[in-house]
Amino acid sequence: MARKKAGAESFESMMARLTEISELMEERDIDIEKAMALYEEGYALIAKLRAVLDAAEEKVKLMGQDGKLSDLDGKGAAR
Amino acid sequence: MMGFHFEQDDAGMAEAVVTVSDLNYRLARMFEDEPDLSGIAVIGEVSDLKMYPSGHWYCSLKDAKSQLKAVMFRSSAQRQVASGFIPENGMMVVAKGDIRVYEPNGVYQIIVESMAPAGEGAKYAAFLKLKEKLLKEGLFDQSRKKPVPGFVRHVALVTSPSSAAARDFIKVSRARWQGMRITVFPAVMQGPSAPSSIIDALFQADNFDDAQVVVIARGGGSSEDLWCFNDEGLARTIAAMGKPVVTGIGHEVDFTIADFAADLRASTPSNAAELVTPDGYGLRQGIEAAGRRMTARVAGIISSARAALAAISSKGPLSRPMDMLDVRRQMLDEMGEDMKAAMDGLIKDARSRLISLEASLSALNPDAVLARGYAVCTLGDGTVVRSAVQAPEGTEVQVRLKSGKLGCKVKSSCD
Repeated sequence: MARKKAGAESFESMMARLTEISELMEERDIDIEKAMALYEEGYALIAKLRAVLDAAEEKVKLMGQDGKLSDLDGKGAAR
Repeated sequence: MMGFHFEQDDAGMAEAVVTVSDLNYRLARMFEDEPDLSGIAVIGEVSDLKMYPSGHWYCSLKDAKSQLKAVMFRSSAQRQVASGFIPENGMMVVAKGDIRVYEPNGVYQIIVESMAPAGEGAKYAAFLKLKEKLLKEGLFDQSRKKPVPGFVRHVALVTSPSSAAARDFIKVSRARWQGMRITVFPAVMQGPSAPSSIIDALFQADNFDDAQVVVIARGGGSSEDLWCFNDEGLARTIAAMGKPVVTGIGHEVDFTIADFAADLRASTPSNAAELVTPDGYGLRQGIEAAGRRMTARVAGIISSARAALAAISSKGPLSRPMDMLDVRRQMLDEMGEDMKAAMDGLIKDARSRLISLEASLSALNPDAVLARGYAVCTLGDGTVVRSAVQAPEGTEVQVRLKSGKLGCKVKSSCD
């Protein structure tokens, strides 16, 4: 559970880092080695962010009285 | 209740005659004497309300079949204003006062002391009162509100699973990003059992660790249908939740107490889905744009580095390696010059020291002594004669002068 939360937070922190990297790379006097390192880091982040966004369609679940989850379908609400 | 009779005269035939004023006067007294007509509460809808500059209010109270004239005199009207409830046409009210006859017109009317909202009006007043109370408590304070995360992975949806609200929420959410999980916590969303049912679902949703946000979704309906969202217990539950709560209740115009207590109020269930679900398309656009910018920037940095390199190798010594040797050679030459100069210096120095040494040495040269007029006397074997004893009478000696030598024979020798 905590892991999922961390994952969710990390999307935002990854986005923040990507923004930061973009800004750092725009600096005038950036040296080429630093730029390459940032570029590599940025592209790794982009790959991770894409993967999150490419997540397969999640099913809508229904929390039952017994605390068990079931797929919400056949009730006319899911689709 | 008000039996009254006219006295007949003795003849019994003649009809009794009474003046209008007299009649109205007598009726007025009867109304006053009748306890049931004083301090009465009448429920009815306000119509033809007129508030005169004099401060008196006039209106009619009516229901489906009848109407009753009503007047509220200035002092009562002022108290009414102070109470916070000001009647309007169409409102159901309970008017408290006395039924009295207005003698000049011969009509009876209610002299209203106070008015209170009735029916829907009463509910609305209760709504305002609760809102005011919770507002004063700080339950709706902006500072209490929990931020809704920017990127929600899993939402707990409290709604009726088969409702249009659930359908709308899911549809809009899926259109934005299909990767967000939705878990529905079923609740009764209408009627007297709704508040406790929603509260139960909220507790469950709040304890469902995986979800980051709780959404309460209820489609449009009459204010009666949505009344359950004005429940005090529900408002307090929402405010006490650990997770941020977003409400999407009714239509844009519908504001419930639950909306005020929520961390974020969406105007409808669809709007709640828009506010909560990450914008997959927009985020992707942003990410791809960042990637393109970075690539372009790196390409720019590399090409300018390459240009700088080319500039160095075409203009500098790297472009003419032989020059480098010449340079080195020149440097060596220069170094040689320097060394030579240094050596010359050393030699010159040595020479000058030699000269001064020579000068001091020459002072010791016997020739120099001879030059001053001294002479050296030596025996035949070259021994320098330092004492007369060395050269007794008759010894042949040589005397060396600055210039030339003398051969001499000692004539006398005395010690």
